[in-house]
Amino acid sequence: MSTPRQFWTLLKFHVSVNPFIGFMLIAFGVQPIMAIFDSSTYHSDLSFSLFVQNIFFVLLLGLWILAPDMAQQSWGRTLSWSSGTEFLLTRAISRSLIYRTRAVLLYALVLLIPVLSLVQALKQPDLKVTEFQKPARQMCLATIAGSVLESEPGTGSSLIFLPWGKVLVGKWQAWLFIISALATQILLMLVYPLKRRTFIFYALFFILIFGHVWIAFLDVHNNVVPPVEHLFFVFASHQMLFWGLTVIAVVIGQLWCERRFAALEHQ
Amino acid sequence: MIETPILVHNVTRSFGGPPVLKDLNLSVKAGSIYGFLGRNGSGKTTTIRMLAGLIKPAMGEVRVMGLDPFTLTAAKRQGLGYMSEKAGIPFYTKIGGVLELGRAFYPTWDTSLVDALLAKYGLSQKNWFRTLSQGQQRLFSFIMAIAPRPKVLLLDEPAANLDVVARREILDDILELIRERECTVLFSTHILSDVERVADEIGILAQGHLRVSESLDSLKDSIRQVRFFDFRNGMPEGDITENYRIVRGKGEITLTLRINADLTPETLAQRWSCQQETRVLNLEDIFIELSRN
Repeated sequence: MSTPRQFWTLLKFHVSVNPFIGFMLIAFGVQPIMAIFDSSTYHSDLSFSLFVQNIFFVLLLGLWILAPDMAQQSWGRTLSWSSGTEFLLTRAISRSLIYRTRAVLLYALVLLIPVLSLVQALKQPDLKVTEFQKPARQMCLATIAGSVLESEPGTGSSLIFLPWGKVLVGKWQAWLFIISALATQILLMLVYPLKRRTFIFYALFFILIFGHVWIAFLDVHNNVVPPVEHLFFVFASHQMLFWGLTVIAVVIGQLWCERRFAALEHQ
Repeated sequence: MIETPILVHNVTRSFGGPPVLKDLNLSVKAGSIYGFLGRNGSGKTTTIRMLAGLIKPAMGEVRVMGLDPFTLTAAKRQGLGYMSEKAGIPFYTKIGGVLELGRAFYPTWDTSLVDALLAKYGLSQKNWFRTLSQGQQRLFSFIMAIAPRPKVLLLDEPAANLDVVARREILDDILELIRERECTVLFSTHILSDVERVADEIGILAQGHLRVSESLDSLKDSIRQVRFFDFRNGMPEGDITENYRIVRGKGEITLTLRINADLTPETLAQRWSCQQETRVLNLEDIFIELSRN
């Protein structure tokens, strides 16, 4: 059983391993910091309000924090800094604790953005969005309690008013970040023992980036509820269930990753 | 007390190519210093990393303090000290930060020993690890390995990149550790004079096998290089006798072999009706003869 002192000492050590995390944090923080200055309740499009451009950084952060020795192998080239993994694994430290502290660091950083967004959203909790597609509009009105259609003054085009909509979007983003962090953990632990692990990881990374954009592009042309919005509406109407399942998935995923990490060779 | 805290039994291991270790057997007696020799790529580091619990054998078993090092719990690992070939300590940490980690995880952490060694090696807790020279980094890694006062100490090339004085100091510290705490040490090196100075037993690894594993005196007393020449009935063919190395020349055979009561240069010369010339080998000669393909 580890003591709090051991936990914090190890956490501090992980931060010191990788100063690049600081740069990522700045990159991460740009969107929510900008959002803090945006006091308007209006958003031009629901799809775009749900789109989180920083989600890709979760994968990069996960790589640098959870598997720094893998990040070190940049396209077969070894960088001149040490990940400290071998050092830690050969000390009297439980392997599960090494992994757990890394995961805590990842979740802490990953949740920084949605927490900032939520804090900002509390100032102006309501949201007015334009939704051009009729099926999506209908689904929104049917699933989100209190949502109503409004007419935009001047243009006359219809808007959807979502009470506490900004907070809801903030919670949705938090959920997305947590799920992404969990998926990143599992992905890393799956590819870790593979010979071409870095290549496979980056290949998946780029597929996800372009796949996400591609899905968003498809949404524009089809007169159907876009899959991301569809999931958002389901999330909005079953929040307790989503959060409950997420907590269970995070705990099980975390325990699986810890066991996997302990059983893996570190070459 | 376990008689052989370090035990490698029939271990084979490869990394996608030909095996690095082939049926390796090695044991180190409690309280002894074992000098582990071998050419580059002979499998020394692989063996040590296996003993440290970083990699597993494909076949065979490895035991440290009677347990599988790969599955050692944090509590059991208290007794195992390890210094890797590379320092492995993150560059952007201060020495004090790394020491704090040691203090937090080892109840047996010897702060007075650490302070004494830091002063002796001219290191400060305020130093950033990246600002240290390669030699200083190794010295600090050594401190981290011995500060918990381990029962088993694995040192992979501890003297690499060190000047003569620092090397001598490290060796003295190892000896002191043995004297005080009955520590068992396995260390790999290319510096044969270090081995001659401190090792109780020597192992020479070549092509994944341990060619010899015994005390330096026994090794020097039993390994000889013998040149046989002037064969009256022609040179013997095929596997002529058990030997470490055979070189056939024009009208002569040079053997590196282990002599004993039954097998001496004289008995072989008599059997082959030839003359012989025996050469006593020093450790460097023995190492070269046994390590060559």
